[in-house]
Amino acid sequence: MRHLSAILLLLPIALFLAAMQATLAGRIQLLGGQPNFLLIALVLLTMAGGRRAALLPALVLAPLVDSLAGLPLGASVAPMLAVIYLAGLGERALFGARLGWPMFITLVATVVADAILMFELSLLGRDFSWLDAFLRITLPGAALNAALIFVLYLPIDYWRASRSPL
Amino acid sequence: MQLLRPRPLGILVVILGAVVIMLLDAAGFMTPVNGVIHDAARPFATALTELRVGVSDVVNTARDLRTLRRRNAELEALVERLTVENLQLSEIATENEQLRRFFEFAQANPTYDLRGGQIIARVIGGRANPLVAALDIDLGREHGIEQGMPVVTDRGLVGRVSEVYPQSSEILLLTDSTSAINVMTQASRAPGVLRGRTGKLPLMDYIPPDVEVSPGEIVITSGLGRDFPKGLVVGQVVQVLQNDNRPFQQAVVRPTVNFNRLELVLIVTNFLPESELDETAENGDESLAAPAADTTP
Repeated sequence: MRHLSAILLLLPIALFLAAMQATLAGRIQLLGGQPNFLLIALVLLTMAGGRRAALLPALVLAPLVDSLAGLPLGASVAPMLAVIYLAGLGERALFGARLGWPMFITLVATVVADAILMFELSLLGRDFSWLDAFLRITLPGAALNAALIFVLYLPIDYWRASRSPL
Repeated sequence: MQLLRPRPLGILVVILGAVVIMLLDAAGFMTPVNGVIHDAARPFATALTELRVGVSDVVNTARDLRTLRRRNAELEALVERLTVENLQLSEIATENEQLRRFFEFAQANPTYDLRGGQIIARVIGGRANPLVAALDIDLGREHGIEQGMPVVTDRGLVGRVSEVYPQSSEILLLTDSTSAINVMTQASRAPGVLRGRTGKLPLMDYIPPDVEVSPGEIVITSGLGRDFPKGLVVGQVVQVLQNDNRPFQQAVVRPTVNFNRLELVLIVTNFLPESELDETAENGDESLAAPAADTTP
């Protein structure tokens, strides 16, 4: 029952985030790459609340974004699970200690997520030049994601610190 | 909360579930689910698009104001008053201008039955994921949109309707890596197939080696295979690739449509590609088949 109510509460937020990805992400471009709001949200959520906190939002959000992105439904689930795993590495020890860590993790997570997604799409018959996609889409996208993490991380870190008992 | 603990077996089940859903989607069984998601996200997408356009207008107006103040200090008060009006009118003016061009395009192509749709979302070098070049528009099955219908602007071909939901549709852009369009060069009449490429300009392939194709030539739809009406402008040749190891020439084509700036598109509703016509005929629905046949150039 708690899961159901959590999903129902999550749905409007998820729809908003998915619509944001669908309408705004394409307008923020760097050398052909664009930010992945879903990935950024999951990285921040994992770092702030742990892997467990990010799992349900990932499972709800990923198919919505897939649908609006024209991707096969469910294609982003495995990449986002990988993102959560990576973002969860050293979450407690390193959160708040260095800003470089979340940016580095975001860079790596973007590359890994895109690689998994391209692998899935290749299996479904989509023809890719992996090198082109990596150089022209993944790398610029990773740089943008890391830059956005740079902007968003500090307020969330402050919020997280203010909630922690001394 | 037990279920949400990230345990290896649970993760494996989730991934397997995702794979099954992907395969079902690839087989077309998840279209109703996609339709529900698209319809549910439509208000959010529309609101965000309007917000984006509003912010963009404000930013542009502020930029204009700075210039005007620097150059016309004595008119500052007047500019400020006009800016308020400008904020309200600029979007209408932009839309009117685009609609006027669409009207001219419709007049120049009287055989097409055109229907306008406002784009509410976009993909790669487009929409939500750069690996897929597709767009959402706010017209769907309820507005008479069918799968396969060509999508154009006054500047040229955009793509085709790839999925249709009750109140929205998905457009596969000609730049998508799964897109293949029969085209020809306007001047040299060289036929070929235009294929989209991820992160790169589309490539016109299978150009006969005996035809001389030059950079700058306009590329139009050839109408072969009846996948698109003949004569729609697609792009311009920017580079010709010749290789002794290949039996055909290739050409890199820059589309005439700027997919990053698309806001309004037109859908040719009385043209269905051959494959869709076959399906329509099999279903015994001749209402679409008849007008589509009239558009054969």
